Amino acid sequence: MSVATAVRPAFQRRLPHLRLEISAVAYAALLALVAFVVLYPILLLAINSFRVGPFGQAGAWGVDNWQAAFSQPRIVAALRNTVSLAITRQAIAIGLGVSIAWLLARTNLPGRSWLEVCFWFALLLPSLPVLLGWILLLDGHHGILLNAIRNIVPGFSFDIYSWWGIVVAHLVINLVALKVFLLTPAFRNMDSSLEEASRAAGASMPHTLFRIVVPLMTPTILFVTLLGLIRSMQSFEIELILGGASKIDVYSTLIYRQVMQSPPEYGKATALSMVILSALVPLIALQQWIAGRRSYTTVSGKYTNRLFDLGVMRWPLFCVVAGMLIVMIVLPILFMLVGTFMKVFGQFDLPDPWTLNNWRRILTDRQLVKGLVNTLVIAAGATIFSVVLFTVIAYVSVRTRFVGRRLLDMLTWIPSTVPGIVTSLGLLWLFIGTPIFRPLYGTVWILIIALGFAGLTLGVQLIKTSMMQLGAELEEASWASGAGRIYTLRRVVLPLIAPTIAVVALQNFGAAASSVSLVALLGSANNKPLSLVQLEYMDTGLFEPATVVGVIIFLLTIGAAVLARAVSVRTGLARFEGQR
Amino acid sequence: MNRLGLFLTTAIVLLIAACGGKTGAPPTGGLAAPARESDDPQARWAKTLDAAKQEGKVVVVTHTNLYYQKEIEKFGEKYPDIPVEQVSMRPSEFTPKVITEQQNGIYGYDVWVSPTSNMVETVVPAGGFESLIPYLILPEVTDSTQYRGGKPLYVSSEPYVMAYQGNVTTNVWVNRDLLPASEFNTLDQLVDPKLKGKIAIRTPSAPHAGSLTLTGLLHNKGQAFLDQLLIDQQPVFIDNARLMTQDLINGKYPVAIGIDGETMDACQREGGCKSMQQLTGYEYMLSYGVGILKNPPHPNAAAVFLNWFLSKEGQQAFVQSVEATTPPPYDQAQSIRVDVDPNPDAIKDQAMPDYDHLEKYSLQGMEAGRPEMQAVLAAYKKVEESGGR
Repeated sequence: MSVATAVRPAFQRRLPHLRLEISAVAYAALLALVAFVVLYPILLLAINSFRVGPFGQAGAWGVDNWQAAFSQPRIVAALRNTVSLAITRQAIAIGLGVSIAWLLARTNLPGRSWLEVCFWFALLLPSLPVLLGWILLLDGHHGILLNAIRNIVPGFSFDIYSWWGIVVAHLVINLVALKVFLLTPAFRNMDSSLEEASRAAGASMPHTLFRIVVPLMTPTILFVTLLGLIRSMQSFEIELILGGASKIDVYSTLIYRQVMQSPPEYGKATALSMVILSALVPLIALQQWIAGRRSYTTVSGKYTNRLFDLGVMRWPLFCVVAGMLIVMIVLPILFMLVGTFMKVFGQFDLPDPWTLNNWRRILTDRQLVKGLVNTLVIAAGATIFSVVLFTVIAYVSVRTRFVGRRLLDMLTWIPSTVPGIVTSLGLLWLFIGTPIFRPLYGTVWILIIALGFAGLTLGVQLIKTSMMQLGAELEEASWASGAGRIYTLRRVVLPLIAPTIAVVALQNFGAAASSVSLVALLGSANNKPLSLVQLEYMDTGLFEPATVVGVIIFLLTIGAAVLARAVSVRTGLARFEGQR
Repeated sequence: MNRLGLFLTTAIVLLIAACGGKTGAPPTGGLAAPARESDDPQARWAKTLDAAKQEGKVVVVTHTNLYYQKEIEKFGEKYPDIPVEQVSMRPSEFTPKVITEQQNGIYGYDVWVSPTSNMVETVVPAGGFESLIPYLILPEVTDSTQYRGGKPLYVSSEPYVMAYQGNVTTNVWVNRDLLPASEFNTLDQLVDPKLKGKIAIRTPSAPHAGSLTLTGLLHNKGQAFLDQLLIDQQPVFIDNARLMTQDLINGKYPVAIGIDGETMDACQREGGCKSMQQLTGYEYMLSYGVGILKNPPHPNAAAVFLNWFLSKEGQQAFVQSVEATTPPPYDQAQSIRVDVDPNPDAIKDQAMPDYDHLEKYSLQGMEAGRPEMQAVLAAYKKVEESGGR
């Protein structure tokens, strides 16, 4: 009998079977709920993909959609581009992300705390305006930055409308920032005694990094890499704009074009999406197998976090990281802000290109305050819901012996394998067609649930890998003192993984605040957030005022980022930084 | 908190939330004064108005353009007892939503005002609209002579959606710094071999300004011309309209089809883009219409809104709303009603259709124009299959 079992509270010892049944029922209910919300929309879409005929009308059953989808002439080239682009940018991003995360979490790099927050900001920037800004800078013929470089280095050749242009755009816009965002909390949770032992044995810093640190971080690095690959396969906005002119197709743009048909071809889009799903399921299983092979505990009762002294490399490395941040956030933010004061975005050669009218228009719009309130309610609600749900799912997956825990874990990967532009219709069918959700349809609750579930994969996996770093003895010590499971979770586990939860909360808040298509589809007139106000301005041809609304949304998420940072610094292991 | 308390709390919260949701129960009752009951339109109108006030509100779906908001404010000033719940959504997003809801017995909307492409393509064939005839009450709305062309213009063969405006245009622009008028001045020259590889076209894989312009060319010049333009001329296909506009302005391509018109208008209005010129000819007409959705929950309020919207007052309010909320030129500030004067821009830019001779245009957003849009999309598909894009 283990120590934990021997010291369980008395009532639990008297009724062990009842306690076991209640928890098993609860876990099973959780599994059923997650399975239903995740699988039912995809199942409906898959069934619908065999219905042939115009949307909304009775049709016949057949495989026409599948035949048409896979007989597209560019599908092979698109698959090839998708794989090559995904592997290339993920390889570069992981290398940079691991290095930067290690610098921020394990060393005495100057200003590391604020540098980390700046990477969060990079992640919260809206992609499309940032991309348009980079195009102004890096267009092969007229790019402002490229032409400046050519004045120094004549003959310098680069065009953003190219295969490498797509890779570079992803890296500078949010890919590296995302890796740093996800990896840094996990690196911080590593006990420095392991590195010290390596160095004491005579290993160099790179040897320690690659033979001790990286292997211990395997679950997190694997998860981040796999998530990155999945997101690469779904990414289409940058590829649509940069790849279109250079005739580079990727798989997701083929799917996107099906949904944009009139009427939309959801059947063909679903057929194409099923390929991604089937290709990724073995990868997910492989990741689960690798992560489950050994223990990755790095936080125990004897946890220490002494920082590695960079010595003379402190300031040069600071300059490197700060330089990357200038490229990734300072330039795009500058462009975005400058754009809000321009009469026509990007047209510097107008006789008088500057104006305050864009800001005046938005700040006097009656929709602004209501939109702001709706955004806060929806985003905060989705964040709270998702953090609670994801923490429970992660805990059940990692810390219980529930027979369905591996299945539960596998299910959390599924939503990210099917593109959001396809699953949004499935979610509509789910919420309208099932009795349990139907009463909530049209209310803000359905938006909170839908947006909460949208971040399922990243949220659960991130919290799970953080929990895997915690030694079991920490909880057993709590049980030995008489605490129950929920108390232990609340007072021992959660504080230790608070930085990770803050990261998950921030990511979900940002995504919910800027979500457009899901909110448009499931929302109602009473809960219109700022993202839809922005859309209205864009559709009225007022791009510059729309950018002002985008800046307001960005500032809102910046506020959330600062709050999340404050919470994670006060709790978590960052408090013990530099201590023995 | 113990487990029972947690369960009860959860149940209560869900119950409260459930109270605010849409129900699937179909609406009760219909029009207060159906046509056959009384031939006196004023008596019908009075009864309908009373019933509308009892219903308490009207739910109107519009496109996301801000002028609809302004228009609805004016309805609210006229009928303060009938508040409007406005749902603003892009037609491409509202279409699957409304069809799915109707198929599940949810009828939450009364009136839909929007460009009519999605209405005609998808919602009309799915049976998503009511016939407008019972809802048209006021004499100024039912009188055919009040409409340009001598009759109301329905976008399909059945009277489900009535057009309140047609907007005629084409979207072919040339950068005169690269291509002088002596070398390219009419749309017939789009197939001149000298322009091979120099034309940018917004990827015509879905309906938008690029593919709509191609329907106008198809309508007037035929399939062979279209194939020549899309295949032999080896154009560059670009998905993003704003980007294509910048490419035209920056001189990357001398000719562009399907640019972002608002960006170009803004640039020229502020004194820039002086060497950009729009060519005219072989236009398409895009229609904007209004319809009553199936089983409206507030049928009488819907009738009041519909009749006001199509009346002289409503259409004048629409023209003024466009002028108040959008930047110039005000090509859309016009109406199909003969007693509503269009904004001078609509006349100057020839954006107002010749309603007596609609056969000149490719009628997009109408049933008649569907085959041409399908032909354009099919032609591009052939280009894709041949690897030409």
